[in-house]
Amino acid sequence: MCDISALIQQWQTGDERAGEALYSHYREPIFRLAYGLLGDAADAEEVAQDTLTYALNRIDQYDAARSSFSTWLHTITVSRCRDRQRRRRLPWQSLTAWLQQGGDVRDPAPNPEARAIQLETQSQVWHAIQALSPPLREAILLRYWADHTFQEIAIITGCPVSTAQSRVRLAFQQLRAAIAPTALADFGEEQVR
Amino acid sequence: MSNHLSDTELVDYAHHALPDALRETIDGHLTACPHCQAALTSHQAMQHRIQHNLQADLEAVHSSPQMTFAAIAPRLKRSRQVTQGEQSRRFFSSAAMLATLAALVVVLAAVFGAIGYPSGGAGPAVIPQPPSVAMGAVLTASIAVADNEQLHLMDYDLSAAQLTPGAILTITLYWQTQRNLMGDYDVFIHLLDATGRLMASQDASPAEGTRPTRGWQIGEPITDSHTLLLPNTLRAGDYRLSVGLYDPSSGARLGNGILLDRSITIVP
Repeated sequence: MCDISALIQQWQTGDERAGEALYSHYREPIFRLAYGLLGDAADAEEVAQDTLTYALNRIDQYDAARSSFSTWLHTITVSRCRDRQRRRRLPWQSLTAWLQQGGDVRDPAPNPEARAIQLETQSQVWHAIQALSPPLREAILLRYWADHTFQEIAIITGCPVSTAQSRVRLAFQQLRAAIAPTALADFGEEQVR
Repeated sequence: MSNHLSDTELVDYAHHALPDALRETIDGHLTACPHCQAALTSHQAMQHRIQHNLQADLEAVHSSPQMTFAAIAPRLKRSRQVTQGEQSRRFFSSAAMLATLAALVVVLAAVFGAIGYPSGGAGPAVIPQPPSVAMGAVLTASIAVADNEQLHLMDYDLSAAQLTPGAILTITLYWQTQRNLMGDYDVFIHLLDATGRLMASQDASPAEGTRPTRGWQIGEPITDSHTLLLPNTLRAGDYRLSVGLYDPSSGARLGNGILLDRSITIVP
């Protein structure tokens, strides 16, 4: 188990090996978060390298009293991904538009080929997440994959906690509708207590 | 049963996004309502499924072998933390620059004052001057962002004043506030051609989003770096780099709009 605080301190004093250890520890998680946000491996790799370079160069700006190191790294990652989306004008479309154009994310009925179905379902979930708007995609990835609290999501994405909560809710509702549109048929929508 | 929980309540409950009091109320309802309990179970199953699949999808991807520490090491060596010595050098070189500029202004004022211009004659065209940006620990450009809120751009660093198309320009802004700020403001960096046309831009919250303005302490020096990717199609010539702040919730620029305006030369 890595002692991140110790590595940070050692890196601050100029220990190159500590910098490399921090890099190795966070390389894949940062790459994967960027990949989830951007949907492109090459872009994600560039963002991850930029993020880690920035973080190691500005390690003096990290304040452990304000956030965990991974929260700080994810803040930088999200910011870099937003920059990348602006620069490259990465295309994204609404889930509705995607479905209207023939996209299909319906969950197939269970059958004996469970593994094949699972693979297909994973791909469907993935495509449905990629079809979310960027703010919703950020929120659901930070919550479901990075396991951040709403407070942390608010810090990372620069929005109020209530907005972070509503983004996660909206993302979930859109994903649910795309993946299993009939799943709630028995329950009805927005029934008032 | 007619009074069921709403979908929003159930989803928020499943995500642990409700305050304790409301959560307890819903706990009570769920105990007595099989319909809502079934709906909640369905939400939780869907939540688990999305989470599981997303994790599996992301765990299956890996960065390329080219993504190594060695690949970024050269960039680390060049731009490691600013040491105290470097800060001192920056201050003194900035102070020297300021003194030189001040002396130049005095000399020019004396020369033009002595010579004067013929009344009604064709004096030099009056060119609106951008706000001067002194260097060093001097308040240079300030902005009133709201009642009793005052932000100061103390200094800035540019990676280069002469660049080629496709290059990355890094600008580091040094901010300070004398009041606690009530809003979170974003920085814009604009590159404009001679006609004022926007050629490249970058909008971001300060310090990559790690230092929102609302959290700035009074008197605390804030270092805020931004990168601007210059288009490959940029023609050689003189351009203007404009920097300012805006309120992302309204898009309105703060104060007079531009805090820093300086020239940048693009070479082939």
